Amino acid sequence: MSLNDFDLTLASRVYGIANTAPFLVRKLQADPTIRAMGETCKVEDILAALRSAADVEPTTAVDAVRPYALLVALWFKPEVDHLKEAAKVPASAYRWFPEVAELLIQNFSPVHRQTVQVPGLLSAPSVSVTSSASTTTTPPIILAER
Amino acid sequence: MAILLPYSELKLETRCHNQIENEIDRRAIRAGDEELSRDYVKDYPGGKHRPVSPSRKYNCHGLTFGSRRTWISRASEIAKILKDDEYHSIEIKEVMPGDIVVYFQNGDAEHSGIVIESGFVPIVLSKWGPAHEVVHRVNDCPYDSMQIAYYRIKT
Repeated sequence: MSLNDFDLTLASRVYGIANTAPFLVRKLQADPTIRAMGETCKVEDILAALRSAADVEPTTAVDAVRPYALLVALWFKPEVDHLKEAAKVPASAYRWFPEVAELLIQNFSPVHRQTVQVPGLLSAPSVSVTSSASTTTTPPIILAER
Repeated sequence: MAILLPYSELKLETRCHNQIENEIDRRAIRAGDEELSRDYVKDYPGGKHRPVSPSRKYNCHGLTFGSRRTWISRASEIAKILKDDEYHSIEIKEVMPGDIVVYFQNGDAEHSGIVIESGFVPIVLSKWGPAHEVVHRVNDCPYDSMQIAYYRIKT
């Protein structure tokens, strides 16, 4: 998936009401799109996109948040070195860039992700939950197999 | 006539003559800024959305503490203002129009406003980042109202 495929509308909405850099950081860290960027895109691609985005004056609300979104995407990587490298990118048009980078480096904690295969508890392809119209006070819940 | 740079800092001091770090961003609003503001008008129908355009010249703290003249963002500056200007914390039952409210989150002063109506849920005037000004219930805004504090200035 290319970095251009990620929709930064939600991030731009957050940036559109941000009074402070820490608020922006907290909200972008909670943005599932940016998390997905960090988890699926290569570090080199994110850094290249960051250098390219930070080099130009933003003309749209989405452009204005892009360098910050890319910084946060790097925060989701398991190594802090990429974030430190990104912090050195010149970004004079993005006034919170140094502060956002610093905040992310400060609260970086190495994350190791592992996919665990859980043994199947339900063998049915799907399960529906239905309630009975019986006259008992607590209607039974029936797990039905399709 | 003064030549204004795209960014500049005002000489803005507390009562104790300590400079308050601030920045005016005079760049024009961007494509999409007005639409974002309109989206927030739709999302918060309970607020009175003042017909002022989005602007990066001032933010909520600039409205609350700087007469709409500039943007103040660092929590350390808000702490400096509260201390130097002798604001003292008050209970919600004491709140009156003219008091101020600050929204804290993990040590950050993420938002502030001026109380314009007291009550069980006070009503405040604030500016939402670079978006517009809104008169809203203290808990009806895009900021976390779980750690809010009310202050009154000593005269």
